Formats: sequence, structure tokens, C-alpha cells
Amino acid sequence: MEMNIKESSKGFIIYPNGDIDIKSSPMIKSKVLELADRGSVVLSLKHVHYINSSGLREIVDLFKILKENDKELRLCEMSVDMKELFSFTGLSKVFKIFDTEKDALGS
Amino acid sequence: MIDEFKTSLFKIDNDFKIVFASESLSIFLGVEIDDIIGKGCYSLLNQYSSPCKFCPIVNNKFELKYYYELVSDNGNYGYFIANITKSEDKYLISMLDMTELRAYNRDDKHRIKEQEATISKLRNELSVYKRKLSFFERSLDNSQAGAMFVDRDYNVIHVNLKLRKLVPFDFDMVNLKCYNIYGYDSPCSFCPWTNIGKERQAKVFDDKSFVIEFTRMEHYVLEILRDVTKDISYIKSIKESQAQLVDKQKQMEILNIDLINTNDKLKVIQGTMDDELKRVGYIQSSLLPKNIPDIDGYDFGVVFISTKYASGDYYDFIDPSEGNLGIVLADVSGHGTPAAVIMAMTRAIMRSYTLGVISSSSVLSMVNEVLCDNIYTKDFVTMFYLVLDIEKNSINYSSAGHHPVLFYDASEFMVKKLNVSGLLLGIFKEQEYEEKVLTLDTGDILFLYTDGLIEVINKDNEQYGYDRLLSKIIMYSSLRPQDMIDEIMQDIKDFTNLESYRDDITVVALKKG
Repeated sequence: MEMNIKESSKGFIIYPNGDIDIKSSPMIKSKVLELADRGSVVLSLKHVHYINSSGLREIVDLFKILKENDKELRLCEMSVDMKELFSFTGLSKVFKIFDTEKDALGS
Repeated sequence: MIDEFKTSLFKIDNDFKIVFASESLSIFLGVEIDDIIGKGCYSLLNQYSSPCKFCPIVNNKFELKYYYELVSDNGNYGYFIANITKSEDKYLISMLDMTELRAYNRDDKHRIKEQEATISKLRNELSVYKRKLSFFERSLDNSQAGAMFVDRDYNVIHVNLKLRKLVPFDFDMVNLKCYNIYGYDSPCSFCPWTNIGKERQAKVFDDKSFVIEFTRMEHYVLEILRDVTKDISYIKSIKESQAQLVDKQKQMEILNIDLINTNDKLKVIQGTMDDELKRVGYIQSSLLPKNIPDIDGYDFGVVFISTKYASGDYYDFIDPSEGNLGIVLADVSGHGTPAAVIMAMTRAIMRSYTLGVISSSSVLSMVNEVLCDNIYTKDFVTMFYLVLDIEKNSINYSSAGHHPVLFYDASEFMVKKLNVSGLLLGIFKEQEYEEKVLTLDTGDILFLYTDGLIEVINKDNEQYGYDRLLSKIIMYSSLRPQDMIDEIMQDIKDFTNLESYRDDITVVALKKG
């Protein structure tokens, strides 16, 4: 999976490009865990169109691992469908979700 | 005596008139002495009418020797050295005949010149040969191979520079024989002089390997020595590599046989696993409701399609209490045996914890607690649970991260989503689930489905999708729920043009009659 990473003074922003599924989710997971040791991490879903249940499984697992280590993962730039998915799965109450990158980095 | 020396003498006076002439002059000129006397010498000898312009007497140089050529009237030729001496008023001219002597001299000179020409020619030829020889020697010296010329007596005539470098040997030793270079005291056994047709010989000395090539000529043999130590070492290493390759090939063959054996074993194991998975599938199927509920005023339809023998999807009809019907639809993340185990566990928990509980949200909270304690994998469960009050024709419903159930509102001819929020089951404990209530009227349809339904893709990687499903529900809303489901499944089959799907598909529909 193509994945761009931007580093700013406030932390890292990861931009996965494509669907989050059984193939791409382990890459995202390992990259987030690697960068989380160095600073706060924001996952921008700007270029993600779709997350299937396998992808969601890894994202939830990633969240659990980070939480056990007192770390958090912030999400931003979600599409309407993605927001709905996070809403009905109840994950919008678990993850910290922001509209923009700026908001995600600023808080 | 004077005549014997072939000397002609004559004497002239002041008027150049001959007063005396020797016999020899008379003979040479072919004129009698009496006819000579009184004649002018210029007239007799040179046929002039007055004294000669070159006359030494006229020019007063008569003391010098004078070379003189004469041709007589009768054709005699003479070459003389003339000497003039003055005596009183007379001049004595003696002419020594040098004709023969001169001829001899001329012959000698000619011969010498001829010899000189021959010598010069030979010198030129020698120079050409030397140049050629030098060229050949230089060529030989530039050669990358050692080379030497050997004559029939085994004498080494020439050795090139390369050979001197190649072979540690004193090439300047006296009476050097070719066989000395090869380490022998007598002609070698492979000598090309005695072995006609011998063109090549391999020889090892000073830890180096050589190939000697012989070119036999009439008087000489040209012997070319090539150092093939490196080539032989290359050949050796190639042979070693080949041997290693053969070894590796053998090992590969053994490994291949192992692999085939392992593969066969794996096939057996795979077969066993498939059988076990099938058995899990059978058990799981046996856990699904045998019959659909038979309740007055309600009609039901279901479909359950599993991608593998064991599925992560599950649906159930539960009787929590008199007059109520619980309908559960769940989807375990993942597939295969782990998902089937979690599914079976969830079913058992649901069956145990729903008894006597009418509130759907309370059920989900309790089930979540139990699942959180019992799921040790990354898996979670999405679930939609509704409780139908048969008397009141109403439902209360809750969702644990499941796709919103679709509600066809017959009065409005439209499909609405039953949105209720609640976290996926099995992740975090102490969760509260939202609960909503809905009253059902005649013709209303509840359509519960797992995401496998709308996420099926065709060969162009297009999803069947939510919008398409909505339109089909409206299109087939007048049908019985089972027929509606069958039509939708046919539409999905037409859409994908595939025999199997990548995810499990489960649908439960109920229609208020």
C-alpha cells in the first residue's frame, strides 16, 4: 500500500492511500506503532475510500495496543461513509476523530 | 731496345719540323721514315696545318708529362705518355705506348666495379634480411607466449623475451641445448625431430603448467611455450564448481523428494483440516434455527451463505418470554474455525442471557461483558438484536456495531435505516447500548443483513452496494420475505456472475402481515 508520511513539530501524520483491508492494514499498523514511539500520530483517512471488517479488526487492535501503552491514535479527514461506519460501530466514541489535520494536531 | 719498350721517339726543330723519327713511330703511323722527316709534327700526328693549340712547346709546358691519344691514318690507336726534352734548338719527344697497359687497367677497374656492385647488392640484401630478422625477433619478443628456434643439432638459435621471463633458466650458458631448458641432459622423448607429427606437449616445471607447440621446418623447429597455469586453475575451479553443483543438485533432488513427501503429508493434513472444518460447519449449521418462526401476522425469510465450511455469521430466533420473539443477527470478524467458535460461544451466551430479558440493550451489555472475558484473539462481534412484542406489534432494538437494519415503511413506500449506536462486542467492557422502539404496521418489512451482502464485488471490482439493495427492497416489497430474499440473491448472482462470494452472507427479513 502506498503510504505518505508528514512530520511536523506536533507529530506525525500518516496518509494511507487506498482501501484498508486484510492486506494493507498490517502495514498501517506497524507504521503507526513505529512512529508512536517517537511522538503523537494522526491517521488521515483523506485518501481512504473503504474499510472492510478485516481492516477494522486491525485498526481496533491497534487502538487496543496503543491504549495499553497509554498512547492514543487520532483520526481525521473521514468521508461521510466512513463517519457513518465509525458511528454505528460505536468506534467514534472510542477514537479521537477530527475533521481536519490541523484540529487533530492542535489538540 | 727503345722499340722493344714500345717507345716512339721523334725530334723536331724550332719550326716543329720532324728531324728524326724512330722505327716504332713509323710502324705505328704506317708511314716510311723518309716520308716522316721534314714534315710538321702537327700535320703528321694531328692533321693540323699549324702547330696544335694545346702544344706544350707553344705553351712552354713541355717539361710536364703529357697524355696523348693518337689515331693513325691506317687506323692504329695508341695511348701514350709523352715526354718532351729540349736539347739545344731541338726538342726530343718520347712517347711511351701505354695502350695495352691502359686496357689492362681498364679491365681491372671494371672487374673491381663489378665486385663492388656485387658486394653492395649483397650488403643491401643482408640489410633487408637483418631488418626482416629484427622484425621477426621483435615480433617474437612481443608475443605473449614463450618462443625459441632450435636447429637439427638441438642448438637454441633464438629465445624470445617472454620465454626468458617464463622459464627461470640461464639462456646465455655456453652450448645451450633445447633439452637443457626442459630439464634433460639428452634429447627429450617428445622431441619433434624424432617424433614426426608431434605438434603439442604438456609440461610442468617450476610449479607452472605449459603447453608446448612445435612447428617443424626444414632446418629448424619453432617451439612456442604457453603458460596455462591460470587456465588449468580456472578449469579446476570450474570442475570444482560443477562438482559442487552436482552435489547441490543431488541435495535439491533429496529436498524435492522431501518437499513432495511433505506436500503429500500437507495434502493429507489439509484434507483432515477440511474434514474438521466441514464438521465444524455441520455443527454450526446445526446451531442455526431449524425452522423459521410460525407466528400469526408475521412472515419470515432467511438466507445463510457461508464462504467456507465454518462461518463467522450467525442468526437466531429466541423466545425470551411469552409473547416475545428475539431476533439476533451477528457477524464475527474473521473466518474459519476461530470465527465459528466465537459464533457458537456468542449463540450460547445469547441463549442463556436473553431468558426473561425483554430489553435488547440490556442483553447486548451483558453479552459484551461475557465476550470481553472470553475472546482472546483480535476478533470482535457485530450484532443487531431486536425483541418483537407480538401483541403490541412493536420492537425494541439495539445494535453493537452492526450495519443499521433497514426498515421498509409501507405507509411511506420508503426504506429507512434503524440507526442505533453501540460499540462492537468483545472489545471494551462496561458498555451501554442505545435502545429504540418501533411500531410495525401492515406491509412493513424489517431487513437484517450482514455486510457480506452489500460488499460483494463483481469482476470489475464494483460493489453491489447499499443503494442497489434499497431499490431492490422497494421493488420486491409486495412479495413474501423469503421470495424477496430469493429475488435479491438472484440479482446478486446476476451482478457478480460468480458462483461463490468472498464473505459470508446472512439475511433475516420479517414482514408484518
